Amino acid sequence: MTTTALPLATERTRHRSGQVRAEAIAAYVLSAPAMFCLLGILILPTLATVVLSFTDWQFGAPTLRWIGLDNYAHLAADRVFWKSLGNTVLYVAVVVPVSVGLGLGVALLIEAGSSGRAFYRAAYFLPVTATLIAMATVWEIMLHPSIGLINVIVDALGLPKQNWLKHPDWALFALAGIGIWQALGLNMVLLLAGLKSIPRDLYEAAAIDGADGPWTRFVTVTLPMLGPALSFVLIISAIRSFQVFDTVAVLTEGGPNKATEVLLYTMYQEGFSFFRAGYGAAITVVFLAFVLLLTLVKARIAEKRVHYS
Amino acid sequence: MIPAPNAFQSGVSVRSVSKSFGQTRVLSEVSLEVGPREFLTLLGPSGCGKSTLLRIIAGLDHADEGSIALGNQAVDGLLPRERDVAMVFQSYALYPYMTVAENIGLPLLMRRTRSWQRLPLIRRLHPVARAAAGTITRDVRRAAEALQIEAFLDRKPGQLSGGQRQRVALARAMVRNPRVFLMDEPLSNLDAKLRVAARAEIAELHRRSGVACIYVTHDQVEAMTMSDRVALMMGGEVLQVAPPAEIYDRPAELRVAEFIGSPKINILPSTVRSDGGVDVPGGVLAIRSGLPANTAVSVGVRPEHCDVADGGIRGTVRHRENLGSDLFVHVETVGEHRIIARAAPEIIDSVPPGATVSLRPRPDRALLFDRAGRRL
Amino acid sequence: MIATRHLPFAVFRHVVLAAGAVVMLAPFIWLLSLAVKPADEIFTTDLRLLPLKWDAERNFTEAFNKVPLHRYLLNGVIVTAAIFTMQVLVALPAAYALAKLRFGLAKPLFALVLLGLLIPGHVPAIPHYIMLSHAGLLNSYPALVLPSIISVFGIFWIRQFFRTVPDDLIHAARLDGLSEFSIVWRIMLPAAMPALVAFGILSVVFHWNDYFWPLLVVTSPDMAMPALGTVYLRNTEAGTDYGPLMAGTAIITAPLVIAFLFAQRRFIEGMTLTGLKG
Repeated sequence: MTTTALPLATERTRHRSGQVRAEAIAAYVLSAPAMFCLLGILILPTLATVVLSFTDWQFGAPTLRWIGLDNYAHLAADRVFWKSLGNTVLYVAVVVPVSVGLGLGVALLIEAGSSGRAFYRAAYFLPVTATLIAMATVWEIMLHPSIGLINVIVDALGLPKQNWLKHPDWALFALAGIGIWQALGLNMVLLLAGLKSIPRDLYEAAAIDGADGPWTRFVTVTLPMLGPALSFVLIISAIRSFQVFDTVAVLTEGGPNKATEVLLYTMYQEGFSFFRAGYGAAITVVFLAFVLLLTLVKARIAEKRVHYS
Repeated sequence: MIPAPNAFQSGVSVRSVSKSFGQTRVLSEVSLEVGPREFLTLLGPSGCGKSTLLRIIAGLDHADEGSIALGNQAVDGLLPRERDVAMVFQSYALYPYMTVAENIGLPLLMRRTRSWQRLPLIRRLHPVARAAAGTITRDVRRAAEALQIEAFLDRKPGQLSGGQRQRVALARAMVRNPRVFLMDEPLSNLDAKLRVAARAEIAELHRRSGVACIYVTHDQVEAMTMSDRVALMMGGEVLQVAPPAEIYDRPAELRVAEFIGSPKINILPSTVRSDGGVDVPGGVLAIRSGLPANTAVSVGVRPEHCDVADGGIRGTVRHRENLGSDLFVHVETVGEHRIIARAAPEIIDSVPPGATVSLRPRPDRALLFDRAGRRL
Repeated sequence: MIATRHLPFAVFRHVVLAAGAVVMLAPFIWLLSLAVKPADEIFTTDLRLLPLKWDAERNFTEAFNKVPLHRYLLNGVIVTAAIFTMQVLVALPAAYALAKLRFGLAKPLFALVLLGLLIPGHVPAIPHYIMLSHAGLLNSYPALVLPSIISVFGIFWIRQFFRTVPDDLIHAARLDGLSEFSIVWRIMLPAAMPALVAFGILSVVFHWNDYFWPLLVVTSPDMAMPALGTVYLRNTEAGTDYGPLMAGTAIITAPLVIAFLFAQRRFIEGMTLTGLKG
């Protein structure tokens, strides 16, 4: 019996265990549909967009011409594009810090006590589930210059009433307000999830070590432990607010006087209203570049903390 | 004695198995023969490679070199499910959203039906599938009765206590009469009292099942009380394979002697005298070692073979541990060597800390090891 | 917790949270209030929650008369259900492979997923439009569903969850005779339920409310998704008859809001279990 064992041992080394092979085969089969879709639906069309941005193609046109960087040169000279880019950046710069800051505050307050948790969670999250396009109409009425709730309150406080959505100085901020209202709940829930994953005994250890004031506890335990979740929330909400489109399309159509013109809306107009697909693609590429840039900045900041392995 | 017809078909052979994770060598050239009805324990400290070896036998991991055979069949190319082995995991690995009955029945369901017969509607209508369902219910009930968990068959694992979950895991392994049982520290998540009861129960279940069992543990009490033989592993090697009593009384080397036994065996650096006796720190041991004079050796004496009595090694009492049934006296001798001796608890007042006492190791029970740690 | 037992803090917490909640809920309350008011009560500046004269019936019937609201809702249900089903069918096996199986391309494929995570859905919109228009599929269910059957976020999310499933559970399943395919559907799918509920809510919410893509590919009202439908409703009246508009808006918004309120405990649980541990 054992005499046959020795040659076997060396032979076995060559064709590895069945489990290893079966696992690899299964892995490729199981991930094939996803990878096929990922390439076919996301990566390749994205590359196609980039390629398209170097052409003069228009929807329905029989031919297209390679025009190199012409679309981008055109963009660089286009005042509307710069206005649109500036507005988008300003919108993100308002919505992200405010919605993340308020989201964190609400999450901390909800976690700080035991009563009413479910109610508050639901109340703050409700705007996320609501159809923004539909609720935008409600906001339009609430922001209405004469019959709107906001102006009634503003007036009661003795402040000047505004035609919020029609005023060049206020329109973008009014949209940002709606954006914050809508984004806050998702940030809160993501941060709540982060808070819950902080082990309780860390707080107890901190308390024994003398860090028992709310502020000390926040700085010594909560904030460092929340780091990865917080940077995730920041990037998610930045990318989402970069994609602002619905409220602009329905409430202001980029106006008044381009005061609320944003990248995605400009892209939609150029690409699908004026059918200049190549030009629209170029705007899309700029849009993508900004999203990638944001992610890169975030990756730099959070490099040491988050590892997806 | 005439062996049962299939007695030789169910042993396990491990033939020079090696395994590395990256740069770390976890197993080097491990060979092991497990008898067809044997209960063999892989004992060793954590990280010695015992769990990895078990996983290689199960087919969950693959060996870099070497071969595994179950009975006379080399199984290296086979998938875990084709090897017909059953395993009990440390975490029990019960499927949380299935009832106890479904947990126990799953291995039978997968073996007795084909995948299309398990589809929702066919499962109820197809005669083969229905017949299988009947036999599965019967066998699940039988296994549950053997482990006294038939009252919980409709519950989910989350509703059970640790001890009950452990029984479900055992039932799931037992239900399909595998070629070999593999157990990976199945008792380490139980409290001390349950563990004692479960030890006896697993040993009994194994006797009744009549197949080989490989049991992994770092607990020497489990190894000593349950096994036919113990394989002591350290650093990816098997140091000794022997019945528990032999491992304890005649350890092959110093590391084995030090790992087995609690409190740990006393090791004294010594030199052989010209008369054949041995110089130990603080005294002389009258052993007939048969070694040339001035050979450096280590003398190992277990605490229970070291009496507190006049005319032996002198030292100072540093610490006492009274377990009620035994008294362990920690004594410091010349050169700051510590010796632990077992004594009757009644003498506790005569050995206060700081007192000078004399210890007399029994020469016939002393173990001698050479420089390399091999027993002489 | 330690410093929060004090009464003043508890009061402070409730006051702040309740005030914020009022702001968050104000549009919903206002929506309901307007939906039951007659036109002349809408165009006033006095703040009144409940109407003097209830006009709910007219507003809601008008809303249904002006546009096929039920059709929008039906489209919403069909399309979001189709998208979510496809997303799970595609993402779940891949997430299992990426989380638990050892294979040569595991790292490059996961890198591809992370890359995909960075591409907003709007970026490939123009090529998608071109392809669908060439295939003659514009203004159809496939046009609404196909671009969304891959959710990179879904793969990432479920993979992160699967990494918290103990390896021994999978080892036990292999020894119990399950193939890798059976493991995905019998062991991992039920285990992933909490994560799937959370992902499902996010997916359904996103596609129910999506305006951009339906705006591009839908050309006739019978294919409109709920969000686009509200805009059609808006346009029929040029935004003057607010009562029916608000009633219609309430109908479009209600299904998700109600569904969320029912599923909220499991949703929060799913978010928390998956966690953001990275």
